[in-house]
Amino acid sequence: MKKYRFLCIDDSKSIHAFLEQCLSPATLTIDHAYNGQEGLEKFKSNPEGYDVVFLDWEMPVMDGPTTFDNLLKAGIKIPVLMLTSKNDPSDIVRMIEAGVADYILKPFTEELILEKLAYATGEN
Amino acid sequence: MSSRFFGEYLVERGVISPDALVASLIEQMSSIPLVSEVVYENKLMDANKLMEVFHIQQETGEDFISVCTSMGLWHEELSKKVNELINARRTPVGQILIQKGYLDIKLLTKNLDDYLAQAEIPESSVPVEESPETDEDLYQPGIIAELEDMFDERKRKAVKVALGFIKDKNPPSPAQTTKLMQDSLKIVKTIQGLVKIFGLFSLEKILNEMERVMLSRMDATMYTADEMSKVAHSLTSAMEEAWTLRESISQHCSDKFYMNNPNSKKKFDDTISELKEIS
Repeated sequence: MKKYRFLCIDDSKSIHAFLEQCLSPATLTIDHAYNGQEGLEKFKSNPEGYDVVFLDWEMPVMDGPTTFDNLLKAGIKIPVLMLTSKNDPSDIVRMIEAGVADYILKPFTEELILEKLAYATGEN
Repeated sequence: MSSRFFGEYLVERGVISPDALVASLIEQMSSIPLVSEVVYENKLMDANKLMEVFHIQQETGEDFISVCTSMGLWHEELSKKVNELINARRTPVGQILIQKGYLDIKLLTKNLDDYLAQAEIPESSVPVEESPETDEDLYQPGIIAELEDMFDERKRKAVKVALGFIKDKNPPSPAQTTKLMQDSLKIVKTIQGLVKIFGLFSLEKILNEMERVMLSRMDATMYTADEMSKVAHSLTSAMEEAWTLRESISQHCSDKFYMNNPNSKKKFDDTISELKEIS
């Protein structure tokens, strides 16, 4: 499996821990941010430093959709995978149309994360 | 469908200024190289042949591709290569508007919804007519670039995701299903508007039938979840076939390679028949 440099943006520490575990077979480096603003700053300070972003939908300070909007303005070209427990499918469709590579409904499994990662990076 | 382009609509609503739209379009145009430029820069044609083409162009006033085609110099592989090279250098207008800070995504999608809502008509807006023969179609790279911009991977995926929720073993409520069908229809109508403008008839035909099905099954409360799932399945297959056709048009600057292939032609006919049966 290819190795990637991940940026995980989520306000839940347990999600970060679980993601780190799920992504371990594919991890070259993994960076953590706990709200959208922090994630945006990390990306802006090192735009070439990541291959894939995992982005939570609901977060304090700056939510996922706003963060994604700002990441686009910052010129992001790498796949962004939305993590969400949203139950309105129309919102998810709208984010896909806006350009997120895919969505992952919480709670997720390791298998699902790796499957979505492979799809988003064109590895499958 | 509104006769105004979305960019014009944004200007009329005061969302962006005319200057912002013009500046973005100019920036986009400046990123699109000429076909002859790409051919020359990438040494895709012998210099003597190029001189000959330019000479004929000057005499006849025909465009570069037409002259190359009449001289037997334009072929499938070259067309594909040139399109790839042009598209690699082209920046979508939406991206320019966002990157220049004229718009953010929320504002863009909100206005796109309003724009498309104006175009929503209770019955199919599509006249029933046979497609003209398309064997002679050879679309200009500019049209192909517009098609690739308007019918992009994001739209394909968004429709697939929307219909995927309806197909799911645990389907959403009828109200949500109706909303998802509306979401899909909006995207289809966006693509449909463009293919209609550019006369991409074969692609338009699939999208027209998809529109009819979506309109006929819009009220999900009238159908069982299983029935809606089957409809969503057919629509997903149709969208994938539309994408295959779009890829072929993009690659060959024409739909004739797709339509002349017996297997793809059969798939096309089967797709249309299946959608007609549902609607």
